Amino acid sequence: MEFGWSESEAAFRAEVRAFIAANLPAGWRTLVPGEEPYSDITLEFCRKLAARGWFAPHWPVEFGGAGDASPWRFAILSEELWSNGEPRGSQYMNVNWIGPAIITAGNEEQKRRFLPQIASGEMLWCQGFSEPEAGSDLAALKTSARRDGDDYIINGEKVWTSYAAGAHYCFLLARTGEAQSGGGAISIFLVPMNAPGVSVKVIPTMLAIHQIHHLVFDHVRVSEADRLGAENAGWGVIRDALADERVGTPRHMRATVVLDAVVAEAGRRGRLSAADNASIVEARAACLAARLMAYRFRQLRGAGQLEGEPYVARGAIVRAERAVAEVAANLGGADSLIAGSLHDGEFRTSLIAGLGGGAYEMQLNLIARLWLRLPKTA
Amino acid sequence: MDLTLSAAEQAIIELTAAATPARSKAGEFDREHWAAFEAAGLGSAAAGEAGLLGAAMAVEEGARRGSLTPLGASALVLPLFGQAGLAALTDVHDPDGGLVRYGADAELVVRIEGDHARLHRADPGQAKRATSHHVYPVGSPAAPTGVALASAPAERARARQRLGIAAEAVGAMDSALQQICAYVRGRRQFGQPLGSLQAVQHRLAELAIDLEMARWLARQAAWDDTGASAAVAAAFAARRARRFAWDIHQLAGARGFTLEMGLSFDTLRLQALSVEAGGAKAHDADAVALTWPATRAA
Repeated sequence: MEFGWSESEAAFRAEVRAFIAANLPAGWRTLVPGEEPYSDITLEFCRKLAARGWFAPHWPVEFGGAGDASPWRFAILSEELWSNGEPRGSQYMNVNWIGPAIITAGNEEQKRRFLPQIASGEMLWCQGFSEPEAGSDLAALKTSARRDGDDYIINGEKVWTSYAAGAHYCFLLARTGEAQSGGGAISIFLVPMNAPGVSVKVIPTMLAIHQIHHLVFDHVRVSEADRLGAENAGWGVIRDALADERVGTPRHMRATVVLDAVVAEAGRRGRLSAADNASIVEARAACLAARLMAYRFRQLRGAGQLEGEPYVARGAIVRAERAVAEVAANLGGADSLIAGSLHDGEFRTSLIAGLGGGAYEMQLNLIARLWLRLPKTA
Repeated sequence: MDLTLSAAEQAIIELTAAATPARSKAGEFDREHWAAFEAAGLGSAAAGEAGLLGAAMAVEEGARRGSLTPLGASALVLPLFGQAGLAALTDVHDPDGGLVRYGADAELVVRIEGDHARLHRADPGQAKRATSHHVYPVGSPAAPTGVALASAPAERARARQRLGIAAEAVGAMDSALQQICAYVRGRRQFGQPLGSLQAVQHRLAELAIDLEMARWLARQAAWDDTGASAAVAAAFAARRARRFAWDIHQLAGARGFTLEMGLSFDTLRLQALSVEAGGAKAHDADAVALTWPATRAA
């Protein structure tokens, strides 16, 4: 094992830091990732990253990537960006798993149509997964795509969808077979958000740092060319993609920044006591462990050797967010109620951490089954 | 960055496994394991090709296999003094009076005296053995006579001791988790395996996350070999060690208390590790002071 970085990896991190410092306005570092998903600043930043060859370094060259075989440059990039308010906005998702899913499951025409635009930072996406009656039980989704010659007619609704108001396309899961067949009858559609019959509304929430939406698909006509992968074969594609969605976002890096900042501030103000030690060390430990477990996931995924690693890593990431939120609240006191404070942002994002990319409890189910080999629940 | 085992690390884990064919007898220093460790050169593993990280992995693996030897103190702490042998580690300011694991078996004692750690030869015949039912043999080494053989900064010895606590706790937690999972797979209640109940599954999955976190923290600490990393790893492991004991016995029911089941061999060791060197409270204080040196707690 080797826990250090090579000279070239360390130099790359330094370059990325310098690039971020030179290209982001002051104050961005304190934003919670996802808070400004598609402002002019994020769009401009993504174009600059792409021009530098840093938007999708892990993608094959033919699709606009740099063809990096090693997972580490992209890991370093993601860590640095996530530690600085995630200036890619919603587009981290595109390079983490939407593009890779198209590379894996798409046909040549789809690769030509989508990948260059994603890789140049010009195309915005949202994911059409959850429905009013299908959250954690995603396979119970009801949105239907009914055949009509070479077309499909889509009807249904999606809820709690991030980034939908600015998205050009929706990575949509819809049922193309009988409801009782669960995950087996689900297909993926790449649906233009300006297609007739698609409507988007913001859902009012308590989050403040993040917007979620309600999407309605009312007789939306798409063609066979908009279907990603074979009919009824969508479940396998998204199961794979979701592993990246769960662990690919280094929430623990942002949590580490917050931890350091709130501890330093409390120290300056004389608010630190020995009674805080245990919670501070728990938070520090969780951030460090989550980082290592995310690395382990990336390395084993690259080698095709994954078992339960994505789920234990995700568990550690959620723990890190919660542990840091606890420290922030303890040390911040009433100041942690102030809108826009690091403390308040951490509390709110820690609430999202346990749900985004699949509920924490679903990860526990998967750990029990795949890692601990416990029997199926009755 | 490479979080897969190297050939040298794999080899040291296999050597450890070969040296510990069966779990040791509770309450006794295992001389057979120790002789096998010495023959394999594991007693001073930190100097080997696999380095300190390899030595920490040997400690983890030995603990996982239920081996009762002071490999942690010998393979991780003694190299600071350029020595090899059968070692225990005490703190002269310890309110518990220097009662430590293997304190009555050790031939070498590292005494932390303020800012210094001093290595002394010890006579096990003069040591006081204590009665304890926490699986490890414990005792107080006799007060040293004569000058120290060698010395090192106390913080270095403390860091290596903490690394040993963390690695050993990981091994014992791993063993305990494997045992309880095997049990709930087979134990039927309400007409189904206990392990098929979600209340049981979630509790065990939480422990699995804890274990992996502790494991990676301990390995990073061995790589870093700094006081801060070791204190964080030991604090986390010490807190989890106790939680493991509670959760695992809860799931094992009264059968978990029986010596026949053997679960207590791990859970009682974990309880002992959780209080060593001042326990989580002491590890926490150093972890904060060393991680944020500019920040002073009031």
